Amino acid sequence: MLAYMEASDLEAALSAVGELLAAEDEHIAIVVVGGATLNLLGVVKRATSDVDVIARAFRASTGELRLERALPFPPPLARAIGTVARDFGLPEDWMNAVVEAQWTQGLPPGLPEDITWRQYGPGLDVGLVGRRTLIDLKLFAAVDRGPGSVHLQDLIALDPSVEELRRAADWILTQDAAPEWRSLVHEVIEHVERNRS
Amino acid sequence: MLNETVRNIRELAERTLLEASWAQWAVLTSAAIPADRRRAWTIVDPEALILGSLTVGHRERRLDDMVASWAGSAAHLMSMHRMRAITAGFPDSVSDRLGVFTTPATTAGDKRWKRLDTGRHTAEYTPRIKDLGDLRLFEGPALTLRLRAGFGVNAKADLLSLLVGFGGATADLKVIAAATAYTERAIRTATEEMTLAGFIHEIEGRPSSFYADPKAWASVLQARRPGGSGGSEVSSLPPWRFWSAVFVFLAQVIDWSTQQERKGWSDYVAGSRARDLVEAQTRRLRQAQVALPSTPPGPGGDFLDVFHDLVRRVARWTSAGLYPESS
Repeated sequence: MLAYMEASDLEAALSAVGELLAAEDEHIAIVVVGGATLNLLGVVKRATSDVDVIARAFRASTGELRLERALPFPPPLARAIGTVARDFGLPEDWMNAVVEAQWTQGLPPGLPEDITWRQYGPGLDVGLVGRRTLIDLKLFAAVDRGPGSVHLQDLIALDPSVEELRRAADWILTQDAAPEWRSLVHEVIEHVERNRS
Repeated sequence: MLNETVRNIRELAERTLLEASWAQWAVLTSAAIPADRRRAWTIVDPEALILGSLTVGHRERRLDDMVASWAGSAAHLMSMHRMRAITAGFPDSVSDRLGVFTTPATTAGDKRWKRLDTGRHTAEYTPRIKDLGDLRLFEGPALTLRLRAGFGVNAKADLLSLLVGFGGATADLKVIAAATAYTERAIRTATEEMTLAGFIHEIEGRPSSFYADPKAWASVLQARRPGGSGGSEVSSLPPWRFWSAVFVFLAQVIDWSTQQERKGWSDYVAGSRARDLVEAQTRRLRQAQVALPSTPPGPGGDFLDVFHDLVRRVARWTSAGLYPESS
């Protein structure tokens, strides 16, 4: 079952999660990437099928914001996700952490500092990654999934500068040692530059 | 708006339980006089009646008095196994009050009940224990208690009461076990032995089902039903209803409303928790043949209207179940 969420649907679903967490006296912070972030930031106006959680966040005793792997979701969050899926008619994995596999190869540099926080209901803080991280991840996904994917369209919608693309490419080239990887990266960059608005 | 809706739902659930409790107590003892003076014509589920009464005992302390008084007079006719099994479906706020029954039962000499005394019950009110006089065991609605008095407190007495109350309709082991709150294993043994004795009959199949001859048993039991002139007349036996399933549902509704008032849930959370409650109770309510509304997906807050409608349906089911000939 696939359900596409517009920005207003995302806001309602995330608020519902926040209210459910608060009802259990829980407060959780997550960092979100992907189409949901682009929608909520107003970069694109396309429906997205899910919310990609790349990390959870917490405040260390020093006050510093720290990120940790998203999985496993704490039970209250997992319950809230399931409840909202039922109540809103969404797929069970409408909020998932498939993207957290990126931790294995390393997160984009500077991610913790590139987050805008929003509160949804009393119980959920959602960190929306910023432009720099979005360009890094979208370029990576576009190279990985091919030119026909929605990720390339999202990357074009971000309208990255030459400098932003170069910086992102520096990171992405560290993600795969395959000989053809470099040429794939450049191919995608050229496509973006040709289609730049 | 939410608070008013929750209050209305709670009021309906409490009123329904109060009506059902008093109507059923009145068929067991002359010490209970319901407000509308009507006595139920349904086989009383004794353990469900105790727990249903404890659920709304905070509204009417006389119900707590009735439970405690019953414990002092008739605890020996009550099933500890069923009490434990059925209590598991009630919210903690009810199981914490079980001491209203277990303490006077133990004091009266039935030490079995000490095992169910959790020691958690609050002592905000000390029930008054009254002499209930002669129990109305020969009236139709007291059938389960009467059979327990004659055959012992066990699965056989409750099985027979159920099948007689089904009026000739059949039931398989699963249904009987769910209705009586005994295990399928206990019910299997009971059905085998009761069939061997000719007290009930088996229709072989996959699964087998069982029935009792209502006319034969009505003739044997000679159960009484108060007539309009104040006398008694022999009548067919009253029907059996899934009172435990419905009382559990109403108790959970009341608990839901208490939590909403205490925690100040949002519209969404209140509706979502209501949906949780309905999902948890749907199977039992279906077994009880309560007409369930359809529950389309949608943000939780929208579910409250559906929930309120369900509580109204249960209230109507209760009224029809208590007084079947007037519905």
